[in-house]
Amino acid sequence: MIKITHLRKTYDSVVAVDDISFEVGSGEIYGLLGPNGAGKTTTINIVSGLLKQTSGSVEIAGHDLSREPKKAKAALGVVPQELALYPELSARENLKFWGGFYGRGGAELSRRIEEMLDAVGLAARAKEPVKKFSGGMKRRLNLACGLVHGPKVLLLDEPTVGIDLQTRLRLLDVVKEEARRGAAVLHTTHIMEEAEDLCDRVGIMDGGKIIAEGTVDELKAMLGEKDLLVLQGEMGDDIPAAGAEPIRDCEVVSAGEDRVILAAPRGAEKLPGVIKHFEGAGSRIREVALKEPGLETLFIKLTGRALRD
Amino acid sequence: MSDILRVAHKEVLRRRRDPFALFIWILIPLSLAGIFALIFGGIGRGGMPKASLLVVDNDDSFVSNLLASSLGNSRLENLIEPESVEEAAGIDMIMEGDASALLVIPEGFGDAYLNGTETTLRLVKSPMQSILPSIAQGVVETLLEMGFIGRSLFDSPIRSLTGIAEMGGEPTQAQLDATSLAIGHTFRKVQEYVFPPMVSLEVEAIEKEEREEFNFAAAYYPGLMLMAVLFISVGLSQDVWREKRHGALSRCIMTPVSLFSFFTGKLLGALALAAIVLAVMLIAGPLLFDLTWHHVWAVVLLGLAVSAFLLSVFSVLVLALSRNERTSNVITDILLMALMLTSGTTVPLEMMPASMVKMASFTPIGHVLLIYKELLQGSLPLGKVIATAGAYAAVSVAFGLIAARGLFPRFANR
Repeated sequence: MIKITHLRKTYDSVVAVDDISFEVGSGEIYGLLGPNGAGKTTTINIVSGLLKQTSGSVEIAGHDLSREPKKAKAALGVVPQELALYPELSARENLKFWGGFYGRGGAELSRRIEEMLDAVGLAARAKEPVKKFSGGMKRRLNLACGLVHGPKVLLLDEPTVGIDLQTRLRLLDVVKEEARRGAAVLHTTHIMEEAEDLCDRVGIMDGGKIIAEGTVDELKAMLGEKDLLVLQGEMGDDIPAAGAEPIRDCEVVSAGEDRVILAAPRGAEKLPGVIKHFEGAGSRIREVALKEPGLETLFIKLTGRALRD
Repeated sequence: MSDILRVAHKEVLRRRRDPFALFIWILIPLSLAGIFALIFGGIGRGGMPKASLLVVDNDDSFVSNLLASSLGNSRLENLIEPESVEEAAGIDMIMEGDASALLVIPEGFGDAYLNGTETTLRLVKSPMQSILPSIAQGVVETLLEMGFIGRSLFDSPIRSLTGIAEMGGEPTQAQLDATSLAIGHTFRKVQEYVFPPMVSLEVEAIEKEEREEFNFAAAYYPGLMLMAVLFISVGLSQDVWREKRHGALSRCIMTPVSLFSFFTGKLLGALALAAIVLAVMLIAGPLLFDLTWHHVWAVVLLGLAVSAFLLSVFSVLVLALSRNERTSNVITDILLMALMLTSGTTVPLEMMPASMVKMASFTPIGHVLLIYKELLQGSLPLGKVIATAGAYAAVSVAFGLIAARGLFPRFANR
């Protein structure tokens, strides 16, 4: 349904998206995970037709986006990161307007509008102007506007940013339902738990590249059974006595003046000895974190940085 | 086509849901019309306001009747409008502001006047009005002074006749002759001063050719109507920035609908709204200002053509010249002010020097305004109407295409 091949986008000398390729099949939810500035939104904007790629190709439901934009876009449903609603119009009027843009109309569109209003929990407020809605309600309507025409391909650009947990879970349920219906979903997020819970496959992006790709289990397996030990403070220039006992079987993920990250099996057991070892060598540790294997630890292991850095 | 109509419908719906701006675009010109009407005295119907004077005649004598009827004299009809009432009802009317003043003629007024004894009339002025009660007071005081002078001049014959009446008898022929002689003598004494008067007023009537009557409605209203069209055109052409801010343009790009259709729909919707404003102003003219439109179809045709022209031209300006919303608003607002000042919407063409009128005729609104004036006078410059509407429509299509095909997609993607 979505086929991205050697996609590249540059702004003068800045490479925003650097030769990425992936495919998303029907009924599959593919997550693009990465920190802000990783290139996720640029990728979504190219796939949705908002930006032109520098090179590479995007195919949607069998139509090349550059050569057959109208047919490709007809299969798309986009939920942008920023709200895209008419505040003066009611929820139902917004859905009717945007749904009509995909050739839907009459009883079919009306039925679909009622379904979406129910799904996002806005049926009771359908007649009210959107300007009276809370932030969470607007987010839910924003999602519904992208889904109202029953798209084959759904692009979600951080649709849960800035909303409460309850609303987030509700939105993610709607997305899962669309995938069960057969839609191919490309979902960007920087929230680890969201990607782990929602996505069938995840591509981890950093610096415009996909640095790892696979199912959540496949990605976790890349870490082995190791936990991450993150020590922050005045750590010094080097890892002290690297071969010494407490850190002998620790893998050094990254080492800097203010932060050292180690990967080790049974991290919780090793942590007191590791702290003692570093303090004995003159480091002044202010903060310690133990992270169990997961997408975030994988990201840290791959990049040496946390997702929210 | 259905996409264009869908966007146009959305535009109208948005304004219906949030009618404040539309209301303001109509209200400002209508308020100005009201203010000008007050300044220039009357709203087309002309004439000075009259003081409404209520008269309570508690005496019901020959003299009191004479006073009451003299208030209705034709020389005073432009100043006051007398009405006989009962005292209680009159007081109520005064307190409600339904009349300017209440004159109460006391019982025994006629006898006191004829006998030359002191008497007092009561004038109650309305607290609800400011100028008109004073006019009523001035008229009553003048009449009473004239009555006092008349009473003084004819004191002797009046005393003689009232003396006979008080005795209950009929005057003899000799008494009547003596009274007539006394009146005649008094007239002869004063006639050299009164006929002809020593002080006279020479009234010079200005010929109509020299000073035409200023018709407020015809001078101001067409300009104010086009001012409303100008407001709505500028306001709606700036609306693309709101659409951009609300993310609607980005979402549109992601749909299969072309930006050309989207923008054309917006223009069409804006034109429909301009037509609504035009219709409201057209109807308000005759209702509020006694204005008579001739050849309404020509007024509407020209109004729509100039609306389309302004919408498309301002849209091109908004899309092409501005880098951000603020700059866009500043540029279009400056142009709006310049057009308002030079095209005869704020200062009527009749009050402008010839050079300014010439300049106004080159502005899109001033040009239409001049044709509107001809239409208001009843003539139909058919050639001018068709040529102007056609030219404006053609320019609108050209500018609309430039905006929709070239500038708007660039603006939306920026």
